[in-house]
Amino acid sequence: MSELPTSREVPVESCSDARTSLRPDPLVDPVTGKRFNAALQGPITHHEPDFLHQLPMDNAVGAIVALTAEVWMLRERLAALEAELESHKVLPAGAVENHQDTADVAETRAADLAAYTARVMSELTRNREPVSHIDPSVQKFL
Amino acid sequence: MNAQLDILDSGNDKEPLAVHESRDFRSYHALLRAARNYMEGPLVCQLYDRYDRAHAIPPADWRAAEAVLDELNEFQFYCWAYRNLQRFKYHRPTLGIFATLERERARLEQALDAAAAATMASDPAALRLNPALLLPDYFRYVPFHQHTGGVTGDSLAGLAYEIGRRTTVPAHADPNGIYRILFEALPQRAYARVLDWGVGHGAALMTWQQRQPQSECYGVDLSAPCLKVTNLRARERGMRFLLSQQDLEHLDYPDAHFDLVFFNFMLHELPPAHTPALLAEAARILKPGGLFAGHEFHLRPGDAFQNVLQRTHAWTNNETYSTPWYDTPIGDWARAAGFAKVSITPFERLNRSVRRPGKAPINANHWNLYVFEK
Repeated sequence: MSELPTSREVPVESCSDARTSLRPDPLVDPVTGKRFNAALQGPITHHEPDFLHQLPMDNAVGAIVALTAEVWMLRERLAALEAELESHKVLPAGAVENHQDTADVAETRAADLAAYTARVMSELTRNREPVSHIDPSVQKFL
Repeated sequence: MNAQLDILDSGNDKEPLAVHESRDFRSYHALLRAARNYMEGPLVCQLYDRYDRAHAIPPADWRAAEAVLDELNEFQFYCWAYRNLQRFKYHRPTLGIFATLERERARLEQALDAAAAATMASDPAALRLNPALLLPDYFRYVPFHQHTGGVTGDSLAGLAYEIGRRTTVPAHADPNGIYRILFEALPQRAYARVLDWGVGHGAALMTWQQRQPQSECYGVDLSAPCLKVTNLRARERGMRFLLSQQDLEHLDYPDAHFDLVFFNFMLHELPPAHTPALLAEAARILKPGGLFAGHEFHLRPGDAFQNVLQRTHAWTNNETYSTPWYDTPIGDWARAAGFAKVSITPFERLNRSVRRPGKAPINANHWNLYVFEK
C-alpha cells in the first residue's frame, strides 16, 4: 500500500513562513509569560506542544512492558493454535514454520511490512508542524 | 413520505455508496474509540481523584484549578490524548481516514459528482451549489476538529466528516442518537418547513425526515463536499431535501420562511464578532412563532474542574472559537436579534457523568439546550 502523504498533508512550503517567523509556544501564557506543562493558552498555530515532557520514564517503560505482555499473549495463543491445527491434522507438522510465500504474496507482504514499519517509525520522526494548520490571523477573532 | 419524491423515482440510487473499510481499518478505529472511552472514563476518574487530593481548599476558579491540574501526569496525558487520538483517526498512514479515502478517490468522486449532477438536472432546487461563494475568514482560518483543509478543502471532505463522526463521541453505538435526543426535546408539533443550519453530512436532517415525513426539509452549508454527501445519502433513502451552499450570514431564503431552524453544536464554531448577524439572519427567515433551536456544549456553572477540561478542547482539538463562545451573552444577543422568547437550559440527557462506585459522579462535560422563539 502506498505510504505517500495524502493531498491533505500541509505542503512544507506553506509552512515556511511559520518556521522562520515568530513561533509562539502554545503552552506559554502570552500575558504573564508563565509556562504550563500541558494547559494550552491559545490555538496551536505553529508547532505541536509537548504535553508529555514531564511523563516519568517509569510510566513510559511500564506501558512498553504492558504492550510486550500483550504481544506475548498473542504469540502464545498463535503457537497453541498452530499446535492444535497440527495435532488434529488440519495442517501437516511444520506447515507454518516451513511455509513459503509465492512471489506475488511475498511482494505484498514486503509492502505490508514496509507500511507497518513506517506507521510506527514515523511517529518518532514526526514533523512538529501541525498537520491541520490554523491561520495565525485567527487571533483577530479571539 | 413527501409527495414531491415522485420526481426522484428514476434517481433513487439503490446501492448506498460505501467506502471500503478493511479489517485492519475497523480494528484500528475500534481501538481508537476504546482509547477515547478510556480517556473520558477511567482517566477522568483518576484525574479527578488526583486533583481532589492535590489541594486543601477547592480552587476558587478555573484558572486556579488549571494550575493544579497542569502539574498532574493524568492531565498531561488527557491533553495529549485529546490532541493526538484525533490525529491518529484522520492522519495516520494507511489506516487514517484520509489515506483510506485517497485509495478510492476516483470512484468516490465519480459517485458523488454523478449523484449531484443527476439531482441538479432533474430537480435544480434540490441541490444548489455556488462555486463562487466566498468563505468567511473565520471559517477559512480554522480546520475544525483537526480536519485538515476543513470540510471544504477537498472533494472527499464530506465523506471524511461522515466517517469521522462515528468515533468523535465515545460509545456512540448509534451516532444518530444525539439528533433524536435533540428532536425529542423540542415542542412536539408539526413543523411544515424545516432548515438544518449547517447540514454537514446530512445525518441530522435524515433523522428529522424519518421522524416527521411531512416536513419539507432544507439544508444549508458552506461546504459543497458536504452537500454532495447529503444529496447522495438523501437519494439513497428516497428523500427529497432542498440543499444549498450559502453563508449562514447572508441567506437567500425569503423572510418568514421556516417553522424551525435547528442546529447541532454550531454556536461554538462561530466567533462572537459574527454571532449577532448570524442570529439576526436566522430570525429573519423564521415565521412568527418559529423556533431556532439546538444543543451546544458549555461550561458547567461553578465546576472549575469541568471548566478546565472543557476549555482544553478549544485548543487541543481546534475548536478555536469555543473560548470566546463561553463568554458570549447569547441570550441577550438572541433577544436583540428579534427572538421574543429565549430559553437556555441544561440538557441533562446529554450530560454524561462519569459514575464511580460509592462516590459522587464526575461531570466532565456540560450541554445546554437552546430554544429561541421568534
